[in-house]
Amino acid sequence: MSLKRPIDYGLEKLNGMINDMIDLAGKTLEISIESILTRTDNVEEVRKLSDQLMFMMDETSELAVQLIARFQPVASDLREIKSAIQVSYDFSRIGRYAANIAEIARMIPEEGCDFTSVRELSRIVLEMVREAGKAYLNKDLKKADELRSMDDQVDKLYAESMKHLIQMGGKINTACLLSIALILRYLERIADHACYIADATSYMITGRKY
Amino acid sequence: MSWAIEVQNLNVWYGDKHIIKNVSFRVPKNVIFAIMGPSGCGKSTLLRAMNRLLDLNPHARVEGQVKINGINIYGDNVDVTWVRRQFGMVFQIPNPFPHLSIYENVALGPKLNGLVKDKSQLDELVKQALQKAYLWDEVKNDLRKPASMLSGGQQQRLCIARALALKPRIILMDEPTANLDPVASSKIEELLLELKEDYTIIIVTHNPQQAARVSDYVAFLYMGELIEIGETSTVFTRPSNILTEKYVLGRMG
Repeated sequence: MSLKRPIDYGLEKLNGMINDMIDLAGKTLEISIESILTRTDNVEEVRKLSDQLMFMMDETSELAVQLIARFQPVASDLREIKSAIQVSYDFSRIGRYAANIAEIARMIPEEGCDFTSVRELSRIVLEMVREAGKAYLNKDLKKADELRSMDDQVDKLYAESMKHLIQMGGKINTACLLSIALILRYLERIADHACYIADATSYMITGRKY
Repeated sequence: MSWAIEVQNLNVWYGDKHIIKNVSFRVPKNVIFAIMGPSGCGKSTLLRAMNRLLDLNPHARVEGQVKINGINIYGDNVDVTWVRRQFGMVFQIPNPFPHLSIYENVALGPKLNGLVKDKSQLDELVKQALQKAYLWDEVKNDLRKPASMLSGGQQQRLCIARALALKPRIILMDEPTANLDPVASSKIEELLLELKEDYTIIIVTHNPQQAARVSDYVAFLYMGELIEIGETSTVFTRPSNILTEKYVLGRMG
């Protein structure tokens, strides 16, 4: 076994920080979806987690800049650092959207909202966020590809659900309709960020743009 | 595209040791072309094969072609003096003639080669060469003093001025900053960027970061074989060969 290079200690630390962000982003999204489906008010908790993700993103990019300054990284080292900056931003955005979703829980009427589409879409999106994290940490090109096709699935489901909502206009409670539409929209954005993470992962591995 | 230099199937042996193994590449004009690789990979030998400096080594044997302007310098009727005149060369350890004056260091080559008609032409040529090497302002009042009074970095720029005075097409540099401190090194690097406007520069370096900073194209040589060649920005962001990757990451050996 060969010795670790000085930059390797920094890259390991960077990966550890991303790992924490992956766990936290998944948890934040899970709680926010729970709060919709079970109609519980978790806004304060989710906001706190989301703020923590923002803080972690700052820490991550700070470390990344330090590594660039100290080691002038090239090739896969450089790509790993660039991707870390990118995915830490994506995970913090996922946290923000999760907070937005949790905030909607307060708007939802007591009765009469059908969250089938939310349940369905959120299941896929939550899986995407977790898989994106795994793809990144394990440098898994195949999984990154799979995420891009999952995103196509999300876009399709989103379009169908929105179309259905528009048809339901006037037939269901407006607060319900708006809440569901917003949640679906946020979930769709989260799926996009999971996809960006997949792109950053693919770039990190191959050096090509996705 | 016209090339400054074309190397085709070049092989070099020292005795029966195969040092350069079937290396081919082309260098466009007015670029900085870096050859990088670990110690002992054959970088300096490759450089010395390009201007037939290896002719001076009785144990060296060269096969293959090196073309300048389409002329193979290893061809039958080629004048070695003409070949060497196409190149300026700068070495790792600054090697001015220590007892000659700064002026004479630059003037000697043009005088011996009959490049100038009279003293005022020579003065002008010396001044131009020193200016191009960004040394003029520092030495213009000390032209008659011995070169040995200069700092290492200044001596190296004097060697560059000495090479430029002979109006070469191509400048070969063998680890030109290996013996200089970081400030003197960056001065040389800045100078290289200026010089490529008028010359083609081929620089051998065992410092990949230097290749990354100054070169337009880079070749990676390993155990006498050309492993990878490409635009510097590509080689340092996504090298295509695993050996290159290991080398630039500092994971080799």
